[in-house]
Amino acid sequence: METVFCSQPTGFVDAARPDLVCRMNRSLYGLKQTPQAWYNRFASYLASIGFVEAKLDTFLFIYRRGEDTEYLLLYVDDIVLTAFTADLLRRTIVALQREFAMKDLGPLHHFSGITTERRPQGSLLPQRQYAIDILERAGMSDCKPCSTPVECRHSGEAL
Amino acid sequence: MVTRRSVGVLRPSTGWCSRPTLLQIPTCPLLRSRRSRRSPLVLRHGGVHDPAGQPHLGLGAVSLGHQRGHRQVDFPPQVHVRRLAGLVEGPLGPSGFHLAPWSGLRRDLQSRRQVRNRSDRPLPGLDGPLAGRQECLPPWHSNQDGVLLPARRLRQLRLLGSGLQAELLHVWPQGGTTGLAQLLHLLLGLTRLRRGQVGHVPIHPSTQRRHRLPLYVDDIVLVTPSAALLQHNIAALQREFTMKDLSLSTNSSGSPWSNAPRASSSTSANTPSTFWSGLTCLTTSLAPRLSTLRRISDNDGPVYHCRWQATASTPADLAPSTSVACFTDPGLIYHHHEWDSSSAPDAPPTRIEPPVYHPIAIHCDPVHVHPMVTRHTAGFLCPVDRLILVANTTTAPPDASPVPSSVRATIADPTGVMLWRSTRPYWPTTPRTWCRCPLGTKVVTGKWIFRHKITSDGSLDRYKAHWVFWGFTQRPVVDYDETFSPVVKFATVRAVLPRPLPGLGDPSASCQECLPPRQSDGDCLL
Repeated sequence: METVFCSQPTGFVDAARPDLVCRMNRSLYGLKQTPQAWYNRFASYLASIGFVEAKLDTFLFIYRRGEDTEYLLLYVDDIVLTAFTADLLRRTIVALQREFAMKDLGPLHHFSGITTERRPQGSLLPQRQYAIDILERAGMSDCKPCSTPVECRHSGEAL
Repeated sequence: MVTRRSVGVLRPSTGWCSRPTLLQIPTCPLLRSRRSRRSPLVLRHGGVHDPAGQPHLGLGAVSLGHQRGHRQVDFPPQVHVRRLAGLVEGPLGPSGFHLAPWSGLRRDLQSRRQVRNRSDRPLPGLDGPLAGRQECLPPWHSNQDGVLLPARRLRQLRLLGSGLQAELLHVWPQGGTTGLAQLLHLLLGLTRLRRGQVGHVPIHPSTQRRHRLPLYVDDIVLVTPSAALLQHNIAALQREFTMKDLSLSTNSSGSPWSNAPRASSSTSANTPSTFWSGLTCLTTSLAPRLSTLRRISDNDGPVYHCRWQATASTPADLAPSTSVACFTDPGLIYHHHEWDSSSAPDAPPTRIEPPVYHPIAIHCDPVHVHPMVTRHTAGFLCPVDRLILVANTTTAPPDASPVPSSVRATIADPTGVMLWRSTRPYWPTTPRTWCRCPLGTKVVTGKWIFRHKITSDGSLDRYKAHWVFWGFTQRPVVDYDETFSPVVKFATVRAVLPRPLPGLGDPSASCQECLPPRQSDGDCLL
């Protein structure tokens, strides 16, 4: 990774050496190298505890030990864990929390705009709330839905 | 941006014309003439003497023919003007007005940006009379009672609407007919701009079906000292032409301007004699054009107020100023538009119909010829709130300390550090890795971000100070090669999540959020 130099942050400028800059030991928020640095950091730790990066997606990590299988999805700083047994799940969480400051949000019900609903035959993944949030931010939550958002009785002139 | 014109579509989209009937020329009997000629834009005015001998009445009319070669070009505009002028009482006023020199307009256009935010501030260095600069009028020639504008100047004139407005501030203290004519010019010019906002595509030589309607041929602005005279003139005009009064409906009180003091404030009602008591807008076709011009009020001097109805709702706007005419900047109108329906709740509705509002936009570039003027090119830099879809909508609790405005005072202050804390100690007090960077290295700087962290129940969690680098100053290939987006594919999510794992009836999935790491070693980041 490239070596990045940054200026001294405002308010913490060394009065004796104000013309010096800092060399980054680790990546901070805002740099272009930040996402990759975070991924390397996280993936290296996951590899140390036995996860294997899937060929399908670099953000899907799979853990296999005999019958035990565990999937880990990484979405920037959100992690979704799916394991065969609750014991394996708990062990992985403990291992992750030992390395990173994490907060367990419990059973999955919402993930990046997708709501998960448990059904006997699987999970339903609606994005209803995501659409509603967009409408509210756009101030269009009260608008009437329309199947074709163009004027139907146009005079017929070709555009 | 790909406009319709850039893809070769020259025909106007009828969907953009809010009132397509505006394009029907046969409703105007004035325009039935078969004469084909090159018609200039004629902007006339005249001062008409009332019985007391005071030049009080001003009549402005804009006639606009088409460009050369157009077969549908109508009547001689002068005929139009003279016919109109003959209908009103008295002879035409002696003096014409003169537009500012072209260079002056250019200069005013350049100084527009300073005027934009403070429209009530007089322009510096514009206190001399304009009449002394009449000799430098190369683009136009003026005759006795008007100014003839070549048609090829039309677009430039249109684009210089705001420059004319700035010029009005200059001319206005002279008062009298000159100021009035300038005002009329301004009004009509702005009206033309508003029509441009409808999306009317101007005449193009390669268009097969040319438009038949010259724009703004039939808009008339009447200014009279008394409501009775205005009513008389309107009646006289309506006897001759098919006209429609757009400003006020003729209600039971007879005079359309009997309600003018209501629309005005109490300040103008207290003045016994209002000089220009009425300004109305007529159009000869049957559709409304000038929709928002409402009134000009003046007590006894060269002080005029021309406020759009949209902005005249507050009494402070209507207070007569003392030295400088106040014109609302079109850019301000754009943001403050709100129809004045609540100022007088007990008054009967006086409008025939609520007019369609089209914001005024004037392109910053004086040589701009395309009718499309976006908000950005017009200089409106204020974002549209409803189009901002960023997710940062958290509001701090009212008792929370506000976001500091000064970074140094907050970060360097010990108490500020105590309040606004970063997650981890970013900067060690004893730097160990200071070094000199190689020559030519990009040095990235950043800024402090202060943010209230809100818990799920809405209370304040903590004050977060956050040093964020300006990553956009890093140059591709030079400072970094590839970027990386740690985002899982949606297909992967769908493949993993809904499937119950074999051997387990109820899949136990867990979602975790990774907080910034506590340890400061390694390459970790949040």
